[in-house]
Amino acid sequence: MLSLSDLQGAFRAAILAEDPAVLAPEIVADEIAPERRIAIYRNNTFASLTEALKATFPVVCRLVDERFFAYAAHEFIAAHPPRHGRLHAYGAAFPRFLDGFAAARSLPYLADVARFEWAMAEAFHEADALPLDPSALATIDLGTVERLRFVPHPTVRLLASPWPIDRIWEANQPDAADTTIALDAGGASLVVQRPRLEVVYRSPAKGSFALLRWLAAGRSLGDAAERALAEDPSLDLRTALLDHLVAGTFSGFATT
Amino acid sequence: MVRDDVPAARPSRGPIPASAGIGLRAPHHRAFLDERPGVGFVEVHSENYMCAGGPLLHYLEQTRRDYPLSLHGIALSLGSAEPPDREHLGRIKALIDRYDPFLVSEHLAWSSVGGTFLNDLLPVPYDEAALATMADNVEATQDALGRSILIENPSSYLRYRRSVLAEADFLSELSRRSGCALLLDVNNVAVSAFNLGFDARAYLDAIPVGAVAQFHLAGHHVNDVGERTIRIDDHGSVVSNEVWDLFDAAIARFGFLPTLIEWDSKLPPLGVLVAEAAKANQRLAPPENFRHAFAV
Repeated sequence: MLSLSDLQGAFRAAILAEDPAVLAPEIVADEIAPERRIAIYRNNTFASLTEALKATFPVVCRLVDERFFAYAAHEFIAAHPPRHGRLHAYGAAFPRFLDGFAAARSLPYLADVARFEWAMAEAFHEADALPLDPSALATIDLGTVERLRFVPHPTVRLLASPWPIDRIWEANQPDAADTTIALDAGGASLVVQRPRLEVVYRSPAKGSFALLRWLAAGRSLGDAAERALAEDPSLDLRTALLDHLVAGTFSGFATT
Repeated sequence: MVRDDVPAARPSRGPIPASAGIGLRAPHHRAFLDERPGVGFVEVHSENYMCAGGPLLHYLEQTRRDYPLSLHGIALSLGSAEPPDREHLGRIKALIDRYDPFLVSEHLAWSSVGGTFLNDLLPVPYDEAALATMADNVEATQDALGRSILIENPSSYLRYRRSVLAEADFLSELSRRSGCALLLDVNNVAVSAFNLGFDARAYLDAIPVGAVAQFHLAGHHVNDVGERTIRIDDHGSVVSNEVWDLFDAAIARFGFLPTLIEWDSKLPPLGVLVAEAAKANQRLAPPENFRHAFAV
């Protein structure tokens, strides 16, 4: 007789690999064949996980339609089943899966839209923190400004795409007025974050985004400014820093 | 009708009236805080709140100020051959410490095997090996959480050939060995009884009166499987008349207990759940008879 552990392994094979050969003989056969009974659990598993992915990636679902999404989700779930029961944290690998998903090749921006939605989902569940009050910087000794290091707010996620993923996302909201997008409108550099209860995003100019990227990587203000200016000489450092501060992008700073 | 025997569940702070509560889901959080409906308690799925921060924890905290809370777990997988995941137990403990629930419950089911989580409440064979394993898992959980938990009967779509115990007997023995209380999901009894061809009322009669500490009520739907039909427990509709009747029988046997209206798929406006809870309350004790099931 199979051990309990092997029985459960056989159940996993019957669900994920659709191979009930070992499990079926363990099930009482009556007017409904064991395979049909097992299929109810398989359907429940895939349907509930597909719903979880749909809740995290609603715009991806809208872009490809429900049937295609269910197909993509099925392939993803079979290849990357969850490792734990916190379903809001399931789907981190979905964008990368879409990168390589041949059936979605006609939508080259799809995976980046998924990355945007994943960033929003992460920001939603991430630790709370009070955004840094810009006035806290008033006491800074001007001589140490260059050495300032900012602590990014825990919910901050930065992402860049060659596609206008923010506009694609906006045009696919249920209440969107304008649903036409010029795919050649250029890429997007986005800061996703949740300063308090609501997830928001903005798209800073190139130099401002570079400044934030370097600051978030732990560089000092002087170092980050130098690198950002090299990427975009038109960067207005003071305005960019103020924009990030006012948006609540940082939760603290250090002067060492 | 008031019972004198107190369920095996370890009490938490505050008396809990034996009235109806609702399953609170994320889309209803704000409406619930705005409307503050007259329900006896709320129950949430523990896993949905296992996050570092964010609005869900904030809303749950606001809700908890005015309502008793029950934490209902769906992913601990106590029927697994493996012991419960320590990290998952730690997350449940953190929720208990933060939100002080009056009940903590889980399922007679499994979903994890070898590091894969299958996200369904999968069936446990009703034999001595599985019973011994699950009793150990429940005990380990109660030790880790520092309190007794409730175990819910599943909705079933198959029977294992190796099962030698009736489900009610498996649950009763599990309760006896581990000291856990039972959460009687009346809809699940009706669903399983239909799918597996047993008598729902005989099932109730096989469970010791003092072992049950909470009821669940929900809707199910009926699916065709070839020539036969099968009932699917989808928590996506109102409670059926048959389940209301079985609920009356459960009250007659087990007494007035906290009763939950669960709704998970095709979630309707909050008011529909509150109306279902009011229907349950009509069948529970009238207000002057409220039994405080969980004394301090």
